Amino acid sequence: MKRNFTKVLVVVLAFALLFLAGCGSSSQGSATQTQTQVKDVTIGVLYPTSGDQAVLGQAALNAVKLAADDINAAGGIKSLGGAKIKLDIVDPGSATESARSATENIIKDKPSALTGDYLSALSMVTSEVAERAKIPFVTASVSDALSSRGYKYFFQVSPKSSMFGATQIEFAKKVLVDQKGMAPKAAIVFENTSYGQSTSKGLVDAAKKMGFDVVLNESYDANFTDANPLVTKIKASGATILFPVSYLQDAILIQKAIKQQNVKIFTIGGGAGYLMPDFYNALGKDGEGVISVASWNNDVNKPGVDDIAKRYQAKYGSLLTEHSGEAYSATWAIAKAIDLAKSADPQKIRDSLATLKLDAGYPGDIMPGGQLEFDSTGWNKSVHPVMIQWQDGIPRTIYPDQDAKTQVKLDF
Amino acid sequence: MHLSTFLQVIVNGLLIGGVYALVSVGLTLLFGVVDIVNFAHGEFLMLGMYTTYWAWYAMGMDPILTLVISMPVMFLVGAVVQKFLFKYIMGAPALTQIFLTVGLQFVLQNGALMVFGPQLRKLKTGYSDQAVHLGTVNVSAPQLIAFAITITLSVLLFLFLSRTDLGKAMKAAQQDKHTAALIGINTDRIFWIAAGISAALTGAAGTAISTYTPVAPTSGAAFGLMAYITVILGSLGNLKGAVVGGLILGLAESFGIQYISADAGKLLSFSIFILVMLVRPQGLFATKESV
Repeated sequence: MKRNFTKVLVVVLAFALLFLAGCGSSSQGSATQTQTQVKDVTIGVLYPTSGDQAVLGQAALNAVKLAADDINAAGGIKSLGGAKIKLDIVDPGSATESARSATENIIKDKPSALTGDYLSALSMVTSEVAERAKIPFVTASVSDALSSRGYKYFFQVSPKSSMFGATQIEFAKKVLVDQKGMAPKAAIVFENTSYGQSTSKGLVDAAKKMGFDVVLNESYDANFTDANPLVTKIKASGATILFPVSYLQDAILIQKAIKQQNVKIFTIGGGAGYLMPDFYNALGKDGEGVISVASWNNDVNKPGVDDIAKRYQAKYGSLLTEHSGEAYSATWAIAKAIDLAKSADPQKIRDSLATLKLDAGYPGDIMPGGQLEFDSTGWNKSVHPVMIQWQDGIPRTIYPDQDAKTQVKLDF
Repeated sequence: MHLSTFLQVIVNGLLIGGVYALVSVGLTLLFGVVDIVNFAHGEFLMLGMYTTYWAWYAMGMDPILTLVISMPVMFLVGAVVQKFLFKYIMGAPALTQIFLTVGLQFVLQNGALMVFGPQLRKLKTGYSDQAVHLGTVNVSAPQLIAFAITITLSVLLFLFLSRTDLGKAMKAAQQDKHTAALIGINTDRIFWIAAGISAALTGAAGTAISTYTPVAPTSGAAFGLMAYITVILGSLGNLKGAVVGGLILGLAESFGIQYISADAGKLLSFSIFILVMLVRPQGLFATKESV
C-alpha cells in the first residue's frame, strides 16, 4: 500500500513538474490598458518568446520596445495631443495554430495596429486574421507569398525572399569572379525544409543566369550531429564558392568542418544562422571573413542607424540584428501613420499607411534603399537586401556600395 | 571515384559511428542490467554536455579533464533517478516505462530551457577545431578523442562486468533478480549502481561531444534517437553489439551522403536498420550475451 502510494506520488510529481516546465516558457500576459487624460494608442505586438524561435523573437520584441520608448520620449503622437504608444504583447509561439489564437486574442483588446511575427509562416496566419478584423498589420517577414494575396491591411517593410539569392549571386559575380578572378563554380547546399527549398530555388536560377557552373545542388538534413560528410562532398565537388542555406547549429558545424578539412572555398551564407551573434561566438576566428546576405544590418548607410544600434546594445547587451532593425522600423512606420491619420481608428491608420512615405532622416527610415513607402500590395517598394561580412567579430555591410561603409576583405 | 575522397568518407563514417557507439554504451548497460529503455537518455547526454561546459567556463578546465566532474555528477543523477523513479517501474508494462521516461525527457529538456536559456553555448579549446592530417585525409581531433574514449570505456566496462564481483553480481541480478536476491545479492543496490554507471558513461559521452558541438537544451535529442537505433541494431543490452551497431550506422550515413544524396545519410542508415530488423528481429548479436 505504502509503495503504491509513493509510486503514484512520484508520477504525479513528475507530471506536475512537466506542466510547470511547459508553463515557464509560455506567453507573457497582455498589458492592461490604462486611462490617462490623453488616451494611449495601443499597438498589438506578436513575437515568439517561447519555443525554438525564442531567441530571435525576443530580440525583435526588444527592438519594438526600444522604438516605442523612443516614440514616447520624442513626444508621442503629436496630432493626438502627445498620446503615448502602448504595447499589447502576446506570444504567438512557433506554430501556426498558436499564432492564430494569439492574434484572435490580441484583437479582442482592440489595438489600433499590429506588428510582429518575424517567421513568414506565422505572418501568413496573423495577416489573415487581421485582414478579416480590418486591422493593419505591419511585418518584417520576407516571404513573397505574403504580399501576393491582394490584402488591404497588410504591410511588409522588408525585402522579399526571392531577392536574396539574386543579391548573393550578383555579389559573387561582380566582386569575387569579375574583380578577384575566382572561378565561377558554385556549390549550393540547403537544409531540407520549406525555408531551404524555396530560398535555394532563387539561388540556383540566379546562378545559372549569371553564368555560374553549379557543381553541387543538394538539400541536407539540418538535424545532423556532424557536418564532415557534407563538407567532404562539397570538397569533392571542386566548387570555389559555397552558398549554404542554413539554420544556426548546422551553419556552425559546416564552417568548423570546412576549417578541419582544410577546404579552400569561399562561403556566402543565405542569412539566418550566418547572421546570428551566436554563430560568431561559437566559431571565433573561424567565423572571420564569412559573408552572408541580410535583409538589414546595424551599419547600413542611413541616418540614425548607429545611434539606435548603440542604444540597443547598451540596453539589451546584444547586437542589433536584421529582424530587430526591421521591427524597429515597422514600429516607427505605424507611429507615423497614426500621426498622419490623426486618429487611433484602425481603418484610418490603414489608409494612412497605404499613402505613407517616410521623410528621409525620419527615425524609422532605416531600411536599405529609398524612403519607406508601400506599394499597392503593401510591400515597401524600394527596399533591397544587403551583403555583410564578419570582420573582427562584427557583421559589416559590404555591398551594395550605397549601403556599405566597409570594404570586403578576402585575405582570410 | 577519387581514392582520397573514398578514404575520407570511411574516416568520417567511423568517427560518427564511434560517437554513436559512445552514446549507446550507457543505454545498453541500463537496458541490459536494469531492463529499462530510458527515453530521457539524450537528455542525460545533454546534462553531461552542460556539466562540461560550465566546468570549463567557471574553472577554465580542459574539457577532457572535466570527465572527473561529469562522470561522478552523472553517476549521482543516474543513481537518484533509479532510486526514486525507475525502481518503481521495473517490471511494469512497457507503456508505463515509456510514459515515465518520456515525461522525464520533457522535464529535463524544459528544465534546461528555464535554467540555461535557449541559446547555443560552445566551449573553446585548442583542439576543438584541429584535425590530424594523414596524407589527404583529415581526421577531426575532438572526434578522434571521442573515439578513443569509446574504446577505453567499452573495454573497462567489459572487464568490470566479467572480472569483478560487483560486475558478476550485476549480471546475476540481470539474469534473475529473485534468485540473485536469494543468494544474498542486494539487488536494489546493484540496480542503482548500474544506473549510476550507465549515466556516468553517458556523461562521458557528453563531455567528448561538447568539445566540438555547441550545447543547447535540445542538443541531446538527435543523439538520443541514434542511440536507441544503435542498441536495437546491436541487440538490446549487448555491449559489443552497441559498438559494432554504431560503426555500421555511422558508415552508412557517411556513404549515403557522399554517394546517394546530401540528405540520404539517415535514409541509408535507417534502411540498413530496417533490413536487419526484418532478417534478424533480435538484432545483430544475440540479446544480452556479453553484458
